[in-house]
Amino acid sequence: MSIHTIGVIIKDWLIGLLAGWGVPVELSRLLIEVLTWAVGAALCIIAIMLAALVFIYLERKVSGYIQSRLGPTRCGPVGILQSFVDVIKLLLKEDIVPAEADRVLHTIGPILFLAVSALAYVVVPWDEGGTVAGKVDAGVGVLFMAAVGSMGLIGIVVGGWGSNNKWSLLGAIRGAAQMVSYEIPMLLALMCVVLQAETLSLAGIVEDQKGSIIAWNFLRPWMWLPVVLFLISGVAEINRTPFDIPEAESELVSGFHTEYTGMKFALFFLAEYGNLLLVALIFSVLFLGGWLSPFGYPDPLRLPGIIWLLAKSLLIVLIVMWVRWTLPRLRVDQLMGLAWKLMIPAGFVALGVMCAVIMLGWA
Amino acid sequence: MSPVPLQAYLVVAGLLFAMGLFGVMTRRHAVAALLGIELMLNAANINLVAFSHYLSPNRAINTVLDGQVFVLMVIALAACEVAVGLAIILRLYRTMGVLNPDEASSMKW
Amino acid sequence: MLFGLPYTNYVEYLAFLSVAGLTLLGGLGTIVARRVFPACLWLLVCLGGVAGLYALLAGHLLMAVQILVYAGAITVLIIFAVMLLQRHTGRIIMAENQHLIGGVLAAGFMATLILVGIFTTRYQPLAFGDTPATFAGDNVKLIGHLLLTKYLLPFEVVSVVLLASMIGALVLARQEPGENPGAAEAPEAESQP
Repeated sequence: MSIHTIGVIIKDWLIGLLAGWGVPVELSRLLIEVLTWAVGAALCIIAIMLAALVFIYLERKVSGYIQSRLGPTRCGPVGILQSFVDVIKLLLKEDIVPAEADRVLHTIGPILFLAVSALAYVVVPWDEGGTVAGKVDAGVGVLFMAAVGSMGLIGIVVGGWGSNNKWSLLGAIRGAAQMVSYEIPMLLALMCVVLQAETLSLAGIVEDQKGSIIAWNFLRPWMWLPVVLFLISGVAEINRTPFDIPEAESELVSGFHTEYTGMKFALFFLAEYGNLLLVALIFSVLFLGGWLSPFGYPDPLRLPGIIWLLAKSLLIVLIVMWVRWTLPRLRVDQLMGLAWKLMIPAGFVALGVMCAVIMLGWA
Repeated sequence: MSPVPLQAYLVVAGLLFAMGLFGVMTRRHAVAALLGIELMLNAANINLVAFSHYLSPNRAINTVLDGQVFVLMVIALAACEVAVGLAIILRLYRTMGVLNPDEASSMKW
Repeated sequence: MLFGLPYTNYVEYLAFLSVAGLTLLGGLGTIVARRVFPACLWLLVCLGGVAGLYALLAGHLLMAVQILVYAGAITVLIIFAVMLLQRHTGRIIMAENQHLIGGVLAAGFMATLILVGIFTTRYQPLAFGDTPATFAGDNVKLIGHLLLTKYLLPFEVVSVVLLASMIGALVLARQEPGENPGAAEAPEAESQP
């Protein structure tokens, strides 16, 4: 049973319930339509919150293991309640707005950042025929995802500008420059997948990889360069080490969120983990077959597709965390050089190879 | 199927255009005037899409999408316009030290 | 049926009203905000609203392109320029309105003209309640096809214009020897259609 059918069943049940109370069917349909929008939006936010809860713990444990430490152990068995404690701590902190800051901009910065991150979840195909809102994808899922992803830096810029602090502003400018630059190789890698699948719909890209693990994009040799490009630019887009110069604590205190405390800081934090999960999800959809099982199309294990999708995403998240504790941070000029001198030309090469493959009829 | 009449879209576009005109005429900052131009371009784009959606000359699918293709072109040209416009504003600021387009005149003293 | 119309109509009214309201609110904010940076953010609101209008008019590709190029690239470019100018001048740049009477008169005249035009025109009857057969899923392919057949020449010309404006912007914004330092960053045309 896919997510979509569950949604239809709930809708029918609600209509029946309302009809029992004497509400006209059309009116209850209208109400449910509006309710669906709200529930879909809420689901996106909830996905981010769950991701943050899991990833905070995971990150601390993984970094612990990589550095031969134990990580959190005190809260609950093997420290499993650590995330909750962290959240409560952040909630209880005082909310400070610097005297010279622009109050409005300072407040909407983190909200924008989180909202944009949640917006991108709208087009993620969780299961066969299921984004959060049924069929919002509308055939342009890839483009929408890239577009919304490029909006994330607005939140950073607004927050950094509104803080009225030179570290914040510098962090914001760096973040904007970095995200604008790395968007280009990311889009070029996306274009290769789009050419392969001949559709802009994320669900369509998964359909195109239908079959067992052999049919997935990452096993096609002409996809290897896009895979690498997408992973690197994805990590750069979400400002994680080794690309975290917008918040480099050795130079910029803590970059664009220097002046944030309490709940507003928590919003930035949430959105960063939300973006991490998003990049992992999109990577899984593009190259690892999304919700498909590795054992063939009607899944022999009969597991829901969302489990496979999340398992693949978790793998990517672990790789990204591993990278974080392995590579040192890049300097600003090295970062820009990597994007403009290496990755963008490589992206064009990948696109050219993809076109050649299509012309030769191998795709 | 679409119950929202064509006029509703046209009214939105018309008001947006008037706002853009007001912005271009009254802003004292060149970048803000540029924002007004963006509003006007968007108003025109809404009109293009709305007309092609509601009033295609014939029902063939090709003509239904003409307006959308135009909008793609307009968006690309808007990107050019902003890039060049901002470069001109930067240059204006460096050579004359002003940001108000009205003050950037070396002809009158 | 709800007051004589199916419920999907009300959904569309609701969507249209919210999106149109967002557009007009954003436009108003863009032209009256007293500082440039908030004006850019209001423009962003307006552009988002316009993207929503495109989605309602079966232009899902346009919606995505609008967000990608307009909101994601053009607005960011403008914000960058504002930041650069602010760093040079070292003060918050105000953008009050001037020539208010002239502006109001001209804009009011324009708005009246447009509104009168809209409501006095007789549209071809094929329009209402008889929408064209556009489907969201097919639009992308058809637009791509149009771009490479019927509109190939304009498409190529646009790409040449993009290249020319990119070079032009670089030349214009380049720091010349002997100019005040700290102005090295030049705005570039990042945006591809």
